[in-house]
Amino acid sequence: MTAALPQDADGLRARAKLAKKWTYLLSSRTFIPLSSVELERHLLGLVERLCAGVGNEALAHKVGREVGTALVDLNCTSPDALQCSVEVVSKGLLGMAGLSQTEKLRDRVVDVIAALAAGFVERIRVSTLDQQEQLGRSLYRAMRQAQLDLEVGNARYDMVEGHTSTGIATADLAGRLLRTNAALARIVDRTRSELGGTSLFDLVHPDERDGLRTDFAQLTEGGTTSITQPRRLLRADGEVAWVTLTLSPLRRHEGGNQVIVLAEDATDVNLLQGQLNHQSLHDVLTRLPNRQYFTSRLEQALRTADPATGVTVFHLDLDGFSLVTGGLGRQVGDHLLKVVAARLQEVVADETAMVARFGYDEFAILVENTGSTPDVVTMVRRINDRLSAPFDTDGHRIACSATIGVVHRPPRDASPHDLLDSADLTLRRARGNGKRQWELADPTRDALDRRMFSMAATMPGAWENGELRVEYQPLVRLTDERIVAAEALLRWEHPRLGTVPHEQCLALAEDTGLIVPLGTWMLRLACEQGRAWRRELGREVPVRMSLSAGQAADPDLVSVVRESLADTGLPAASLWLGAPADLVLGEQEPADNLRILAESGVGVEVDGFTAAPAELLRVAGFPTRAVRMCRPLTDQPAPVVAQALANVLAVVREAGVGVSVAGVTTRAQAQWWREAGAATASGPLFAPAGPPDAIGHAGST
Amino acid sequence: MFWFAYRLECAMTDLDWVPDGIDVNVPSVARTYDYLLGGAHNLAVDRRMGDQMLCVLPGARDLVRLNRAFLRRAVTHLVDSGINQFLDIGSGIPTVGNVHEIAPQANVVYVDKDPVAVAHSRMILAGVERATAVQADLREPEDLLSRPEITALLDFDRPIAVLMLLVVHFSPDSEDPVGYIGRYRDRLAPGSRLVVSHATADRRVDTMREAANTVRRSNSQDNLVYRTHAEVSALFTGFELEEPGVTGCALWRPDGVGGISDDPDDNTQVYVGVGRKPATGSR
Repeated sequence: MTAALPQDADGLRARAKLAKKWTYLLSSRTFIPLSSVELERHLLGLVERLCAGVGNEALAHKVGREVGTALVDLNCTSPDALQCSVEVVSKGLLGMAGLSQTEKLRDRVVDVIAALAAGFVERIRVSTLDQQEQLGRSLYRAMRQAQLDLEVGNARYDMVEGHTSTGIATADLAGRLLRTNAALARIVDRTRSELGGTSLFDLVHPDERDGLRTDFAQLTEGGTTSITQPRRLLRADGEVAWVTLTLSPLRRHEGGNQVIVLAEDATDVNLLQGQLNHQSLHDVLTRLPNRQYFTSRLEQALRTADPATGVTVFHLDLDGFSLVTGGLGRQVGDHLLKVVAARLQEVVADETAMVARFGYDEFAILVENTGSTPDVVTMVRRINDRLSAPFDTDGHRIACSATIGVVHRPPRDASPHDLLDSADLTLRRARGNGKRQWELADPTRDALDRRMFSMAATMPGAWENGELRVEYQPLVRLTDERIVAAEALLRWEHPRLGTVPHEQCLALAEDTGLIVPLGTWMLRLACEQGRAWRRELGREVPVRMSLSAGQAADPDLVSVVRESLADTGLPAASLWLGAPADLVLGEQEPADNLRILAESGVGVEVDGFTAAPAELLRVAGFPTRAVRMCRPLTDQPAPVVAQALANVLAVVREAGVGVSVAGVTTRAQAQWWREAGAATASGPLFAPAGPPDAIGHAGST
Repeated sequence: MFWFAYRLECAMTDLDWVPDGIDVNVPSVARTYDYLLGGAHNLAVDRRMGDQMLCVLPGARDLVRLNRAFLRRAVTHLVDSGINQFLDIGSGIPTVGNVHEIAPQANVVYVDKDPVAVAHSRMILAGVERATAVQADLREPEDLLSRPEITALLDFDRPIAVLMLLVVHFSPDSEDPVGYIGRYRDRLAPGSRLVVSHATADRRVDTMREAANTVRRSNSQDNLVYRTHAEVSALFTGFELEEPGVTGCALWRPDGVGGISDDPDDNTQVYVGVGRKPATGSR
């Protein structure tokens, strides 16, 4: 590329020394994005080129220009950088060992340096122009981007402003509206042109102008970002529009600060909230308050009622309402409910009272009694008198009645929920007595009922937990008191209430429908036990079990009994099943069940036999193994009754039916019944109920 | 970015509204920095501001040069340590010696709040796949780190070097720089680095006080906050400082005359440091 350079070591060393010095001077004057080593190598290259230019006249100009350009490209653009470069390079070249022989050395060096300066200036000029142009384009792009952003922002704002239901306005610091949207105009019932130039202060209710003025003052003073307040605005139609007004300062570089006004229409919200509120507290059909509303009113009334007269709560349940809807249709039912609602309100129209609908066909009335309030009996009579007046609906003429639970003058500190529970329990008791009944709350009975309900509810869990078990009570022959059978009885070892006896277990299970699975379980256990005794004692010890009404009516009873017998291998004759007299001797499914069982060999007994003539007739016509006397008769009867009873029992015995008595506690009872012809007996006198092995031990004696 | 900026009394323009940084009558920190570095990406107002600063601080050009040299040494060091992702916040107008030039194999995102600087960076970076520029504010890490341009180019599951050169000292304590730096740290994977350079008045107190007064008199938006050695060290809370800790700019792993000034005070006018997020317990 260039003329050969002196390759001697001295020359090389001299050039490297110059490059090093140049590197040092440039580095400390200007930023060069290279490490010292890299820069030094770079500058050594330039020194080599410059030496070549000095040594070859034809190259001087070109080399000088190239080096000047290279310096600018290295970011050595400052006057300092050029000055020190010219200085160090000129001196270095003039004193360079390898160039001392060059002809007209000084002229050559001047040529090269002059070209270097020219190249430097030219490159600086181009570079500066390039950079300025780049900067101009950057400015333009940034500006354009900003304008685009602004346009998008404006479009977005216009979109929001035009379509939102929130009123939006821009106001000056005096409150004059400079720009408004359609929503604001709608809220204040004016056109936008009417709003233009209007002052916000003229739009607010006169009572709120001072408050608004304070808000504006705060915004003007700065520091506050925004202020939100409920405010009233005046509509053109004279009404007041409730709004939530938000004021935000809009700080501008020019033209003075402004205020952005947001007005959210709270009128609609208020109306809607009122409506929702009403719906959440009222029954939609009758428009009466609902249970929730009633409860809170009751709570209040309990506190505020005159202690001398107190309050009364009537809990009503329409009699046979499901028959009305089922037979005449739901529309008639709905009509009936509305009529009832209106009539109940009429009944208490003169009282401080609230009538509520609790549910399907349940209503409640809260009366805050005064001295002139009629007594409970009168009120109940008025209610049912009023309800029983027939009315026409959909071509039918109907009337109704209600069963009512009454809680009269509860203590002031009663909780409304307990009170309503009590009213509900009372209502249930009343319903137990039939239609159009009423009953007053009785705290003692409430507690009892409540305990029963809770026990019934927990019984299935108790069964799973093994709290229920089956015990056996011996049945003895009265002539020699030898054990002839054993009666299976339920026991519930209740963790809190202690032992719950058989009769109560049965009643609870009957209430909840648990009786069917529980009875099946019990039957199977009894059969297994009977089979076990047969094996262990070497003789038959029949097991006896009393069926509840629900069990006796169970369509599966026959198959359940047959399966238990088949699975355990107990002979049918070793199973004695007792059932309530009215069922055994009736004409319904239970009687059929029991007849089939009796015909297959199972000993069917009549429980609770009262020796009434009707029973006698039936017993004679039914394959009965025995009758068990009604419990109250166990006590030794009075002589006249005793004689009659003895006569009846003789008839029974003659029909081939045994007589049994349970619950015997005294020797006298045992003797009397033995003489009256009873064959078997059970009771504490002989042995209490106990585990199966008690029968075995007793039987072996 | 340079460490103080003047907002000169500006004449009204014919534009209704001009965002910060685009108004050609207002000097820009980024463009002034470019001027002091010898670039020509600047306007008369920027050069006037640069010249005014040179009156107060004759060594200003040197300080800019030293900071730029530190950037080169720090990035080189990080590349040698295996880092290949860089987030340069407050990058200004990329003149020469930018991160993507020092580390051509790395992915680099430049961030500045100056729209002109960002537009310019994008122009320079056209055709460079591994680098991009984003307009965002250092003080809002959640917004900044969620920008799609950043999440597309940087993998936050791997170490990233976050550079904050001559930028944190525009944040007064009321902006809680330790707090917002902590929010960056929480998002970074262990092994990530924080690189900071920050002006101080620990030396040459009088000169710096005079400089600060000049700034205060000049309606500047970006006021300079000098911090002491302890205060700058606190910015690295939750990071382990790499050797030699927080030092004067020129004293951090010097590798030649280009990174040093003849005036010893200049060498310590700016504190620098590199911190590493440890593997666990960074909070």
